[in-house]
Amino acid sequence: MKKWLLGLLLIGLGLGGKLSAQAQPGYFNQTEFGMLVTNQSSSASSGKAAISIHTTNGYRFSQRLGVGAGTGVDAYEGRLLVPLTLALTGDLGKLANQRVVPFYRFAIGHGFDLTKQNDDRGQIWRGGTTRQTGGLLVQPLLGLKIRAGEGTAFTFQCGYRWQTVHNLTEFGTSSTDRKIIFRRLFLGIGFAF
Amino acid sequence: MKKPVFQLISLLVFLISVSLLPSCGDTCKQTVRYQAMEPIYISLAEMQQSVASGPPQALQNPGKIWIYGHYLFINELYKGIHIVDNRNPAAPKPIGFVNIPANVDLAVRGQVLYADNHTNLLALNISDPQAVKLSRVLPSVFPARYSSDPNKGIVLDWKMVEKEEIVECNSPRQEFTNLGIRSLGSANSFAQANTSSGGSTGQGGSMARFALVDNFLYTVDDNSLKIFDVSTPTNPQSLERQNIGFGIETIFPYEDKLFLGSNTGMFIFSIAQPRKPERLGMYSHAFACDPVVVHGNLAYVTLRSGGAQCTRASNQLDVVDVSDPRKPRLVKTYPMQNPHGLGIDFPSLFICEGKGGLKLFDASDPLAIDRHQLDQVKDIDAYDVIPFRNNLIMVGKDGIYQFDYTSRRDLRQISVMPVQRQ
Repeated sequence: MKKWLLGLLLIGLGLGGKLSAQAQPGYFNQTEFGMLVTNQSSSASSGKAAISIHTTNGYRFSQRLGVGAGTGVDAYEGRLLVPLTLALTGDLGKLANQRVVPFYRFAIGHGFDLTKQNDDRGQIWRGGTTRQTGGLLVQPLLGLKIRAGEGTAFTFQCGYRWQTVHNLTEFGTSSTDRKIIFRRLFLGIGFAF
Repeated sequence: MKKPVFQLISLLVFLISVSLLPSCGDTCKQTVRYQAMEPIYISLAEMQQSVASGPPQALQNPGKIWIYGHYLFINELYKGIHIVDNRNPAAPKPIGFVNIPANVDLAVRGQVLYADNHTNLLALNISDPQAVKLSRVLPSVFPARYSSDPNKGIVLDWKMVEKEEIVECNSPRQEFTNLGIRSLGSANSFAQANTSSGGSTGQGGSMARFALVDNFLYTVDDNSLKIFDVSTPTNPQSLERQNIGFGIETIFPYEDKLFLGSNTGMFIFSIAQPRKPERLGMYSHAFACDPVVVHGNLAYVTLRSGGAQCTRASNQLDVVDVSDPRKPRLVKTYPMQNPHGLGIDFPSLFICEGKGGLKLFDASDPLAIDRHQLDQVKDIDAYDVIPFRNNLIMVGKDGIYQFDYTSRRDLRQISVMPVQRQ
């Protein structure tokens, strides 16, 4: 798992090309580590925080607009998702002129469930099947970039994660589709090129 | 990093957190899809109003049969009665259909057709078989065979439906708790044909629950014998009801007696006083489904396994001496495959073996019936038979067959009215 995560990170860094955490057009990378937290337990989950690692690579057209694609890992309780996202991002100030600038990112995509499937899990009687699938992901966030060096910055971000997943159970002619919506607050730190 | 930066970050995180946290909280809803049996209701008023004569319809789920003159009356289970012109048995011609919801049993005397209609007994004038008219309704004379809802009426039938419900995840597991269960299973046990005797009354099958003798109609339900005075055919009068036991299945009139088949044995009643049948004796046997026919001093009883009520029964033909009806005595038992209805036109004995087809025996020697099997028609699923003047009417799963048994040694198929299942 660690090797896999490291691979994703390196891919993100490798695609960086001409780094442009500052305002000039060019390739960019934003990578962060964070927690997806909720303030309550429910029938959908016990309320434990999920760990999220995410990297977004793309092209910045201007200071205020860049387009990228992202991936990562979200480790919810009992469920491992790999999101693939498209993102719009931009800075709300010039990092070259200021030490700290706010930025935004809006990502939409699909979280793919890589949890090991077990056909007998959750079954009352033998003979049925159960499988988990992922679903739509939406994440708007705001953050701050703190200049760390030439073209690089540390980031602090806070956002909202809306992620659907499904538990499908089939037994004979009956089926149950449990649609769970994770509605979490995302708090993360990272870096950007 | 300067202090204002941390203050800014802290402020940003605080503001976003405060604004978003109320929206946080995972949700879960489950969409449950399942198949269920849903009742089809009909109100009592609708049921009576819908009794009407109409054009011929396809045979879909034939039940009991009654032969009267040149006509066949064939019950379409829970729906009504087909009327078939059988003047030419090689080409029977459907001429009409009488819509009677919840109908299972029937009998014909003179110009009157008697039919059950849920708890009601109907008398229908069939002087014009193509324009049958309702003459009389005797309400609430039979026990309710169907469940009912005071607002919706009775459960006439069930249909399979696909259900979909969206519920909270912490609701009970609907896919397992909402599965419908068909509760009309007992009615399916009537889905076979019948035979009884009676000169001017025509003839039914061995599975019949109606029997006409002279001016009286005798009917059986699960636990009782009911008597109707039909001396005025179009105006039957309900007389008394006698509790017998449980598991009563069939009734077969022979001379001045009634032979009732039940799960546990054969009851013999005297109808010397037709208004007050007297129980004479009982021949007990293992728990089984058992129609009965009689000739002379011998009763022929088939016992079979199968269905919800007779899962552990054996499959056999019992020949019972009823010369002393108070002490019926087993003469001999013959193993069978899965015998259902039977009929006798002595010495020809016809036994339906279900998927084993139809067998013809010479019953002249009651101690050696098995050694005198004359013919067998295989590849048909046979339920019941009515032998009538060298013409054998057989109710099969896939149609109404007619055979010529003039030679008494073999069965020659002369026609079949196919069942067109939906």
